[in-house]
Amino acid sequence: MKTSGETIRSSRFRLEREDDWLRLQTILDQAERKGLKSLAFKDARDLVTLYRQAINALSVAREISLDSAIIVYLESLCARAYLVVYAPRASVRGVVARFFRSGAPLAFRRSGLELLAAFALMVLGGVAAFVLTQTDPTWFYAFVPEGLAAGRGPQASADALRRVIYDSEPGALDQLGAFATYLFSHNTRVAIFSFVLGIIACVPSALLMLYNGSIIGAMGAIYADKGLGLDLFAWLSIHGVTELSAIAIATAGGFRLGRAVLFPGEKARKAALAYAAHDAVKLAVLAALMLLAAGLLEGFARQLVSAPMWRIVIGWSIGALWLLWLLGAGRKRGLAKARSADDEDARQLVTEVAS
Amino acid sequence: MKAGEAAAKSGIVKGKRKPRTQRKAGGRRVLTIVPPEGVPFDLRLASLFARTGAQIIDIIITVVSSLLLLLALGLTGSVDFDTAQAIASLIFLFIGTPYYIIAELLSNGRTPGKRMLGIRVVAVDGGGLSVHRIVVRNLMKEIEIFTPILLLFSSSADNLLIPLMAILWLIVVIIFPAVTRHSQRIGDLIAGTAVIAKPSAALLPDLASQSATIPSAERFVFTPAQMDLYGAYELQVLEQLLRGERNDVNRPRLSDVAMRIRRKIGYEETVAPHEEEDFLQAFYIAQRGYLEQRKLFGDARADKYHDAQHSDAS
Repeated sequence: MKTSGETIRSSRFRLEREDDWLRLQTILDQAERKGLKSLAFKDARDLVTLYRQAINALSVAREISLDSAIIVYLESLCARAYLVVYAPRASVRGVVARFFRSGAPLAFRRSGLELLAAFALMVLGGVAAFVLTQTDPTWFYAFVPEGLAAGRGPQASADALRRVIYDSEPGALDQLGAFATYLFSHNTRVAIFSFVLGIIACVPSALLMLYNGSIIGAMGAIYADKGLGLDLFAWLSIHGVTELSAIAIATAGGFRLGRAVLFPGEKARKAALAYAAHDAVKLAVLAALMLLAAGLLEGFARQLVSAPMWRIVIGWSIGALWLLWLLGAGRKRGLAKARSADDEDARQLVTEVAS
Repeated sequence: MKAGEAAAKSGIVKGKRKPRTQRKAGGRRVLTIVPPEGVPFDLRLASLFARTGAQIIDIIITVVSSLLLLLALGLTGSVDFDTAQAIASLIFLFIGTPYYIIAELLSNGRTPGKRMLGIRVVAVDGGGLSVHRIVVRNLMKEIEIFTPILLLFSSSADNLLIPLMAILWLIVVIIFPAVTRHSQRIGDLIAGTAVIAKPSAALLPDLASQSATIPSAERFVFTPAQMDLYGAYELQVLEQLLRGERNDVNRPRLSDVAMRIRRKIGYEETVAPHEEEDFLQAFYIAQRGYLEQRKLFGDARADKYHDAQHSDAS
């Protein structure tokens, strides 16, 4: 038996390919350190070919070679190359543009039922709390937490309530600023929780929506009692339209998840959840954006604009802008044309057949 | 019988893999990825310490930049403490998650913290790391870690229920990566991602081709009967030994192994002490060539018990 003198098969296999592996390794070193864009044209062109060759070699080496070093090396080389070759190609700008152009509006329109349910629950909670507080003002304390009420209870005088709305008291700006930010972070938290908890069969989200609506309803009843209903409406409108919509949208995202858990349809529950998550996540990001916008409106616009008319106009027109974007964007303009073109084709076909 | 046959067929692979993963593993877990090319390979999962370290670095980065922003805001107008606290938590909320998403998107699953500690995010199923996965796993991070921590900090002393629930939730969150198969936290599970250690291995020289140039390799000649005695496992133990450093611990070991091999295969020629290494090299090459050839002919030998296995199976 004389294998020792000549090079054995697996060594020859290695000798033939070694140079390519080392070249791939240097390309990977550069790509990992400085990014894919730094690669020279030739290197970028050969990267994928070299990766496929290396992964081929790994597959063969596992069959024919008993040299453990080569297999360990190739596994690591292939893993590194795989991570570079299959890196996400999306640019941040592209992702953001896609989200605004079609991602968010389409997800919004696909979740019509959930959105309707979320808004309906909030209105229901609001109306119920309004009616209850009007018949018996002590209900107020059941709905509104201490931190949010900040002294604006049934006992507060109309003047005190008015002052809060119009900041006429010196130093109230700070107090109100604190309250505003508190309200904002409270609502952010409600949005996060009602999104996440939607996964538990929608129930906690629905309760949160009812509760959130009831806070506003109870507050409304107190103000309406003192004849300040319109002023409160204006005060809430300027940021509330955006903010409450954001909460409803986050909840709708939670409802999507919950619906996938409750009624997975043809799919397995896990697959249905993964599918619904695509839209739900977009709704969550949309809600976060709207909350941010609401925060800005709250921080600046509400302090600057004090005429109730203007507050209402600004608040609702911004709401209309959101709706316009979410209902209008991402419609394929080509679709209508394509359909008419199809019709024309069909008509032509008919006339051809007829003649 | 069928299972026995299959085991005998794949004997080499099993025999070769099992001991190594046990040795390499030492409690560490691996993730097997099947890329679109269809050739699976193993990736070492990142240790929990590395992940925690990376998370701490990232938190420091985001908190410092939030504080800078807050400072800039504070300079423009006077704000009292409560407002500042609320604004700070807000800024943190809106800097945190986008930071992770954009960093992982731009540098292929590596935030600056992960980059420093040599770990990265990959998709478990072998597909690429999509935008959706990155967004999901980082949105969940907000919910898993940051929200309960903020709740913990902002809770008042008279209401113990909320901080208690937050702590309970945090414990659940921390337990998850310790228990799940690929050390995934909840967000990883939902997004289908895992965090791995950066693969790195140098190309070691080939023992067989290295010594082929040594003329003395011709000096030792082995018969097929002598080479039937060992299998792939023993070959790789010998490989490890030959790759090891030549120090005072290894040198006696080498001569001991050379002696045992000579006795086992019944090698009659005497080998002088200074030739022992050459003898082992020559034996390694001959044995590897022989076993690889047998493997090509469909007779894979996992270890020295291959004969017993074979007769069992047939």
